[in-house]
Amino acid sequence: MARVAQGDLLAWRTLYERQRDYVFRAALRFMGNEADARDVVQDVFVSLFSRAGSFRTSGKLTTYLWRVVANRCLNERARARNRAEAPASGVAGLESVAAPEERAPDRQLEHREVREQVQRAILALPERQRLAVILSRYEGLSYEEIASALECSVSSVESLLFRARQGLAKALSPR
Amino acid sequence: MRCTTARKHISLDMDGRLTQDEAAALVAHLAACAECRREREAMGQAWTALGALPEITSTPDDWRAIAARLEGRRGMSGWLNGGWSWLEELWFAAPRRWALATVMSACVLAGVAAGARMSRELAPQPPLEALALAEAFGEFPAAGWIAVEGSGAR
Repeated sequence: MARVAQGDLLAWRTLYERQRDYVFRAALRFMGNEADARDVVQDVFVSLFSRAGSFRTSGKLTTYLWRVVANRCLNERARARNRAEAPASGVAGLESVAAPEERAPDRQLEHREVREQVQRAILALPERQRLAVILSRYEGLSYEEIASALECSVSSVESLLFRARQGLAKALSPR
Repeated sequence: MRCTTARKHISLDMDGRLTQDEAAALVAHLAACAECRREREAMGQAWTALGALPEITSTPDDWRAIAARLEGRRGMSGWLNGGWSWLEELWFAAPRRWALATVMSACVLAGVAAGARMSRELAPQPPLEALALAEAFGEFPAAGWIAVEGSGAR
């Protein structure tokens, strides 16, 4: 990060290559489509490199990075709301970057319907609950790490995940 | 344990966040409450179902777009900050700091001296007629200058 703070372009590129996978994964699951996720990723790294000089070496980079990711995701959704855009509702945005299916065609269709239902349920969650679920379920962050990323208390994270689980249970319950 | 507390503890238990006593109390409550058992089953199934989303294996490479935005920012701020950055770097290079301070002090003193000399050289001179009178009569007009009729001096 010291070389990043000095504006070393090669250092920036190296940092980007190391960190972009999980930043993109989280942004894609949150935004629901690849185009918006790529905008978020670019915003995250431009913001990170622009403020590299204020990064304290005692802090953990991933902790700081998750906070930037969370802020950018929430800001991007707020901008989309102001533009009166409806959130993405399916898994179409995930197909192009997902691992290929290895099932029989009829099972693929059934599985695709389940995935669409799950994606809709996640995207229907309030944004902070959605972020908490993504960071916990898909990125394996602890409550303390999620609290740091969302700049809230651990008890707030407990509440977010509890409400998210209730919402998901309701959305995914068999009818 | 009340059901509202039990349901929150169900969520915490899924992440291993309960103490032994709390976990034991939850088990006891679930044994007696069918509604909370259903809630636990529904939450557990929903959480498991999240695994149905595909694993994301490919990340687009947007480095060129990021680099272009960063270069744009540096260009805009460069002429604000970069012009003095060499001075800032020189100042904070400790071994050169005293030498730099000495040079700057010498420049200031030289500037003051040059300014003083220039001010004497550029000070308004008495007109030629007054100088001639002073040379002829051995004295220099004390207050102001004598306006010699027809000389144009004022």
